[in-house]
Amino acid sequence: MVNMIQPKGRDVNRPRIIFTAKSKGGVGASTLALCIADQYDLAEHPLRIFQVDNQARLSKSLGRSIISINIAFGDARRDPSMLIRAFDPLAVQIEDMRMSNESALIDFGPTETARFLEWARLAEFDDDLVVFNLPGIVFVPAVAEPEAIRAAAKTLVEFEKSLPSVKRVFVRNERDGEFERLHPASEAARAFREELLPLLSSVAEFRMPAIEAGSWRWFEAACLRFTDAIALTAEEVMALTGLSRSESKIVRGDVAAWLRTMEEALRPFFPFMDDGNDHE
Amino acid sequence: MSKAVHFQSAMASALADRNTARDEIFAWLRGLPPEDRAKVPPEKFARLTAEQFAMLLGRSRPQKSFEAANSNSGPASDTPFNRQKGGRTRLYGTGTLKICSPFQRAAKLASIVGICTGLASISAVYLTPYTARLAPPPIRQVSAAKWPQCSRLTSSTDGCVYYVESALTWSAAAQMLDIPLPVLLQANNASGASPLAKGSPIIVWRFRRPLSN
Repeated sequence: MVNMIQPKGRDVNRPRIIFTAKSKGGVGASTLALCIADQYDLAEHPLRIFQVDNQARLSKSLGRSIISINIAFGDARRDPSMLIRAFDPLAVQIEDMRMSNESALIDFGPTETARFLEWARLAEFDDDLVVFNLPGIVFVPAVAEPEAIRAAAKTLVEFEKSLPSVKRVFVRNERDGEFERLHPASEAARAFREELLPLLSSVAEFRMPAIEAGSWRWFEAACLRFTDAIALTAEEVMALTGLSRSESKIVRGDVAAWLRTMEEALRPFFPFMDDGNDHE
Repeated sequence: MSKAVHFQSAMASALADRNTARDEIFAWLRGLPPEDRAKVPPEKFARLTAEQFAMLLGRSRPQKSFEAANSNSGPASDTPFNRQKGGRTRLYGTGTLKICSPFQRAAKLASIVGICTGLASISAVYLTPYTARLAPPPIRQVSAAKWPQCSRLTSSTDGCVYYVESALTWSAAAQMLDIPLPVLLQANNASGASPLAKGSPIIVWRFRRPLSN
């Protein structure tokens, strides 16, 4: 059973704050952030992108249009007040968004998610969001693997505590297999059953399929956006991948098929995607 | 044209190109002789849809013989599912798989059943002496007048009376019965000094249980 958020009214242009968060790396949070950024770009809706992740994956694909916040946790151990100050620029930027009618996408690294939530509690950031009339939504992805499932459950719980006004969405990243196919006696199935499943009654969710046959890897290595990869000509894909013409068309098509599936999955969470985006 | 509309056009084109390209790769793989197809890198197969992959694996293109496969120079047949009855279809590598009709399968089954039955019969003949010894000993009365007649003197004969057909010594009879001579003589209340004449009775009793009254 997959719960979906039903958008209230047609408040299409209302700015919002979007988090992609994780407590474990490699679960597809940055891929998801990139996909969301593409949807905003296609709809020509202003989006301010923040990356709070030392891996800096998003900035490689999105270039200079991204604001990176790097936190030196070593210094924060010596001076705990640095932790509070570290996220202050983010708060200033978000407050500024009220005037510019922009939305914000914030992609957190695994360590940074916990620090941000700690800061959000200290700074009572949730109250600010309510005052700013800025709806928030957090996407927490996990792959079908015990540690990732536990980390996702922990992140969802922490977001509920620190930012109760933010809508939580669990993303089933099926890159490593479908959650339904986990062996009932496996550690992953137990983690899902005991730690994540009880949360899902109050959390929306959707499926993020795997991109077929590893077709994304060449484009990812070239730091391309999904939309850029799909817009490449067959010759450009051949030059990038070294594949034959037929195979180049297939890998590009695989990315297109994945993005189309993701568009459908994300549509309930982003009302603007319903406007002027009639497929086929 | 807005960015979204332009992109949706590119996306539709990419999806259509993918379908065409998959069909091209599928047609190419299907046209390859199986021994060449076996050399194709696995990544090529990963480009197919699940249905196309299943079609390739589930059905091999029919070929009349190994020689015909090696001398194949013409274009590939477009009939992957059309097989001749009883023909041989080559699989990957050099092995062959005999394709049988239902009648041939039934005949094979019947021959296997026949062979098994024959083996069981032969085994029974050879194993009977051993299994008979394992069988419980017969119940016989003290008087041998009503005992059954033995047809042969064998190591499994017991609880019967044998009538000598041609002259026989007691030791030869004991040897044929695989009974110690004193035991045989005791059962017949004989001294064993004179040979047995034609028609003489031999009481075969192995003393495995007491005689009943």
